[in-house]
Formats: sequence, C-alpha cells, structure tokens
Amino acid sequence: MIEFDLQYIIENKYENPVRKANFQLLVIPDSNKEQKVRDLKFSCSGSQEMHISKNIFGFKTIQYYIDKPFSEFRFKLSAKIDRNELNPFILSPLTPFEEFQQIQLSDFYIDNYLFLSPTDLTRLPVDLDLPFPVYSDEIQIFDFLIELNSYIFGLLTYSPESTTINTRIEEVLLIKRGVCQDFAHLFVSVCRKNKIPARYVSGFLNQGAEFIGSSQLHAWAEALIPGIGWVGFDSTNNLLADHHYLKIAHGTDYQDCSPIIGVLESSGTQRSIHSVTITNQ
Amino acid sequence: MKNHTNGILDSYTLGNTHYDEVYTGSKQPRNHYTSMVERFNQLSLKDFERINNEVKTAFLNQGITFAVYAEDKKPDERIFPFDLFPRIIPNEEWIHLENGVIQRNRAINLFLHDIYHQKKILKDKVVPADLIFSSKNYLKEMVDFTPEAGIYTHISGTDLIKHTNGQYYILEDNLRCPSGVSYVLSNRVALKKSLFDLFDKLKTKAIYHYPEHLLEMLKSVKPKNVDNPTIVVVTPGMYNSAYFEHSFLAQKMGVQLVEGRDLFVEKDFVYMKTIYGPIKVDVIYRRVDDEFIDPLCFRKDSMLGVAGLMNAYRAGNVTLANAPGTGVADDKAVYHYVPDIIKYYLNETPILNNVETFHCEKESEGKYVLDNIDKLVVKPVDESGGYGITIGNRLTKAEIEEVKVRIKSNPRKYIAQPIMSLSVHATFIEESKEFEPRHIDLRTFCLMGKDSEYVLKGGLTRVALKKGNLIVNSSQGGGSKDTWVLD
Repeated sequence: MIEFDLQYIIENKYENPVRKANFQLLVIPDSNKEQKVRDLKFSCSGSQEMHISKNIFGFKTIQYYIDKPFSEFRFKLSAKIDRNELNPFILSPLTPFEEFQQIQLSDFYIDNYLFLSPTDLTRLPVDLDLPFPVYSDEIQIFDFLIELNSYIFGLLTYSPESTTINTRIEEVLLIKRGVCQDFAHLFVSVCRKNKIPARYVSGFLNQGAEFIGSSQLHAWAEALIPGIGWVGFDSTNNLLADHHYLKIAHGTDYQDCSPIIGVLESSGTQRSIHSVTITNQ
Repeated sequence: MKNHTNGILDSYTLGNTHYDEVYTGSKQPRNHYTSMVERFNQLSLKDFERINNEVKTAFLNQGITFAVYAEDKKPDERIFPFDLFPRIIPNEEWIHLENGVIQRNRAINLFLHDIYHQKKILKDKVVPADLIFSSKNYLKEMVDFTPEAGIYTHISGTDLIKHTNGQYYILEDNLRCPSGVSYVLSNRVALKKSLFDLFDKLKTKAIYHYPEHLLEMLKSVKPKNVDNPTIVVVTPGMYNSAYFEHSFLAQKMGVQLVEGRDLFVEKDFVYMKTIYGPIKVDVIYRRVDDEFIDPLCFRKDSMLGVAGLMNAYRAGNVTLANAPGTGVADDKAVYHYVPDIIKYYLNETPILNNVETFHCEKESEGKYVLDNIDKLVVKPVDESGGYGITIGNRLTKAEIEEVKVRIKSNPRKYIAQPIMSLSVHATFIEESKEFEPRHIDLRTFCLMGKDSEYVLKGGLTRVALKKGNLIVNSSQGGGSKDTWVLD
C-alpha cells in the first residue's frame, strides 16, 4: 500500500463582480476497492456552506451556492489516499474467441450501451483512414488495447493548450496534437467502435516522488474486458493505469467529468488556475 | 313536419368522401346530434353572428390568446378561433376511448420504467435497442433512477382521429408538456355563457374540475417525508406561446406561477424566493423542456432553468411532472411499437388502433409499399417536423419513381402508412357565413398519479379552418370546438 498526500487548488478571478453563482465541483478522489480516502478537507472563499451530492454515476460532487457578490473564488482540497499497489498486467481467463463472442452478444451491448455509444466528443470521423490497430477474434482484447494505447501515444503529440474542452476528435486527428483529454477521448472512441466498452476517467497522476508544481488534472481511459473487468489505459504516457493513478470519476466523456462547472450571473472574462500537488511517503 | 327553411344548417353540404361526424350519408343528423342540430336551426344567421362576435370579444378581453412567431417581428397575439357548434361523443364511444387512452399510457409508463432500469423489452427484442439508445430524448441522467411512485408521464395528451370507416386511430402520443387543456375549459365557459339553453336539452359530462384533479395528482406524487407539499408551475415566461395556459392552470389550482429565476437550489433542496424569505418547493409542474431545466446538467446556456435542479430531483427532494426523459417514448419511430408495448407489459390487446404501418426493411412489406406508393404516406423514421414525408395521391409519376429509388437504396430508413383521412364536422365559416365540413381531430388529456388514473371527459377538438386542410395546429390557422361527452 502506498500513501499519498494530495493538495488541489482552484483560483478563479473575475473581471467584474459575480452577483450569484452555482458551482459544482467533481474533484474528490473516489473511494473504491483500490484506493481509500482519509482526512478529506475542503474549503473555499465566501462564507456559505458546501454540500456533497452524488452525480449520475454515483461520484461525489461538491455543490456551492453563493448569492453575495464576489470577484474571486478560491477552492482548496486536501486528502490522504491509501492506494493498493497494482500489477496492471492480468492474464485473461478467456480465449480470444470467447472474448470476441461475449462482446458481440446483444445483452452485453444493452448492459453497457452507455460506454459503447459515441458521444459528441468521442465520435470518430466517418472517413477515418488511419492505420489503427485492428481487433479480431484471434487476439486478446488486452493485447489489442496495449497496441492501441501505444499507437495513440505515437500518433498524437502532447501539446498544452493546443485544444480546448470542446475539441472534436476530427480536429485532433487533423492537427495530431492534443492534451490528455484528447488522448483519452481517442482511445475511448476506437474501443467503442470495436464494441469494447470504454469510459473516460479523470483523476490525479503522481508524476514522481518529489514532483511539485502546477499541473492540470489528468485524464485516461478504462476499458471493459470480459472475464477481467475495467482496466485503465493512459495513452498520453503509453502506460497502464497503475497505483500512481488516483481516480476521481468516470463517465462517457469529459462532459461527465468536468472538475468544475459554474452557472454565474456576471459579465466579462475570467482567469482560472488549477494546481495539483501530490507527494508520497 | 317542422319547417326548416330558415335553419342555418340547411345549406350545409356533406363532406361526402370523409366521415361526417354530424350527419349520415343521407344528411340525417346522427342520433346523438338530433337535438343540437334542431337548436342551432332555431337561430337566425343574424343571431348566430351576434353571439359569435360576443364570444370572440370575450376571449380577447380575457387574454385567451396564443402567440404566433415570425422572424424579425414581435410575436403576434391571436385568439384561438372557437367554433360554437360543439362536437358530441356518445357515452359508450367515450368509454371505449377512455379505456384505450388509459391502457396506452399505463403501458408507456411501464415501458419508460423498463428502458431506464432492466431494459427487458430491449433484451427480448420486442423494441430494437438501437432505436432507444440513439434517441436524443433518452437521458442517461434518468438511468437507474425511479421517480416518486414510479410515475413518468403524469400528464399526457393522446391525439386521435376518426377515419372514413368510423373507427378511431391514435395519431400520436404527447408525453412532454402537452398544451391545450386551458382552451377546453375556457371553451366550455364561453359556450355556457352564450348558449346556455343548449345544456338544458342535452346533458354533457362536467369538465370544470380538471384543475382539482391536476392538483390532487401533483400532491399524490410528493416526495416522501413531506406532509403538505408546496406546488408550483414553472413557465419559460410570458413570451412562450402557451403562457396563457401556464398562468391559467396555476391560478385555477391556487399555486404559484414561477420562472426558473424565481427558484434556487441549496443543498439539494429547491426553494422559491418570496418576500417572506425562501419557501421550500416539493412538486414542480414544469412547462420547460428537458434540455433547459438545469444549466448545470443540460444546456449550459439555458436562462430558463434552475441550476442544481436535477441533483435535487435525483436526491428525491423534489418531484418533476413530467419526469425528464419521457420524450423517448413519443418519438415517431417508437409509436409503431406501442401496440407491442401494450401486449408486452399488460398482456392485453390494444383497445385503440395504431395507424397500420409497413416497415420497408421487411421483404414482404417492402414489396407491398413499392407496389402501392400512390396509396401510401411514406415517412423516414429518423426525421421529425414533417421532413421527407411523401403523400402518395399527390405525387406525379416521376416523383413516385424517385420515392421508389430512395426506399430501395435504404429500406431501413422508411416506413409507410395508409393515407388516413380525418373526419369532418360542421363548422361556421365567417367568409361564406355558412356551416361547412372541416377536418377535426381530438386531443385527450390523461393524468396519472399515485394509484390514480383520470382522463378529462372529452378533450380538445381541433378543427382545420382552411378548406381541405388536414393540419389542425393553432399556428397553422386551426381553431377548436367544445367537446361534449353525453351523460
């Protein structure tokens, strides 16, 4: 087991005072069988109380309603996370053909349709002519996904601010650049096209024992392999999601996992800074 | 024999190719219309026109209007034309309709629960899974969530027509925010004021207590742990075409009419801003579409909604009527499966007919369609708003060939139906100062609450005022009639 100390800060500054706001934050690390969250603390500027609610996938969101004018919003979260060490390399109990048969079943499709249907952010262009790895009943799904992971890693160049949260796959494939969201969306899209359920994951990545600095949240993908379960793949780094990956939430795409959504009564522009600090003992 | 020479209905010419609601083929009033025709024939044209004008003025003065939208113009406020000659439905015919409407809505409600939970009907391949999952009205926010008392379609409007064979057919289901009930109630009041003695001879079932039933239904689906629920009606605002109805229903129920900006959500509870401070709201009859109800959840640019409403809803702290995501079941493509849906959940034979439908992808049906295009309406399954529809008897030979090519290239995309003809009803036409046959349909209103089902006796009879027009919508120059179910 590894113990992590996590600190996450959001600072929003507004050109003109905001009269009223509703914020929804999806930033609390998930507690599941691989990771436990302890000593969770969060606070923000303003005096109103925050409230924890659950989103449609059962992940905790923080709700914050402010009806007094403000021109700065500061949010701070700290927690300790106990993470199980994980060997992400798992052998499938099924043969490639058995796996293939499973995912062709119509009941399998109905049970997992949410993670099999394309969304606006995970729709592949119709005239896609890139040599993506090909899935067939002769290879294990896990091996196919490893190949896909490394293909996407090679295809796109990581480039901060090259895309926005609304950039479609079509454009990403054209400029061949992107941020972690784009890598994850592309991985998810190709899985779904091959009838392998896949979901978008947001979370924190421990980027090294002493790593301190400003960083966005990270994004990766999880795919459902019959006989094994959900397995995490990080195409941005060509890695399998092991114990350095601390999950917050999953969903069909980025839209389901936005760290902060605000409905504001205001005018003018805003500046936003997110910073993440992770240390492990 | 009574002398009918001056009767205002004497010059009426039968609509002979359609089912005439009032007269038989030999121009004898049908039994249930005899006294009504007699009474109208006692009126002179002058009297009738005077009464007609009084009623029009009264509607305008009461603000019983709807807005017609046109580009670059302010919405035009018009009265919904009201025809004084009521449409009559004999009681036994009505009982049949009422049972059919309840049966249909009961099944649709079970269907909605199933497709948002176990999805058995999809696994049993009675309804194609893709049809549901590809619908933009199928909301993931509703998956595995059960609304209070399991009710999704608290208020539904089922549209019916009567075909040449005298049989009723379902035209469509309206499961989101069906409008029109305020006109039903206002029409009855207007008719009572202007021609009170009509009600002496013929006994019609009362409709005035609809708002009471609506209120009781809304109370019955209150969240658990609430004794005396606060109920509100949420409107998109005074520029909405149905604003009159929203304010009418709120006032008749004695509840607040509010807009999204009058409400806020704190800690998963909904509050209404008042001069006495915030008041918790428990049940919302919302007349705002799904995609606008919560900018945190659906359209971020919505100014009509309440941020956090879906969280409060999913936490069980507020009831929304209707439930979000019901639109998946009134999709045109799903319509064709409703008879199968009724059989699947209720194990009953559908009481009301669907319009017969041919699926072009099935070989035998596809062949029939290709051979009979001139007698059929061909519709694409995935379009709405009337796009891509062809009506067989209005096509040229060349156009028929074009349609055939289109169907052959993608049979999965097309369905075909016989050309249905709406029945006609004697209606006063101001231009000719005579009664003439005009096409009508019927929108029924069904309420489903916890352990209660109710259908308003009668409903809204819509009439197409333009000669030969089959479109009865108010925005297309349609009007309405009072609808009588005989006691």
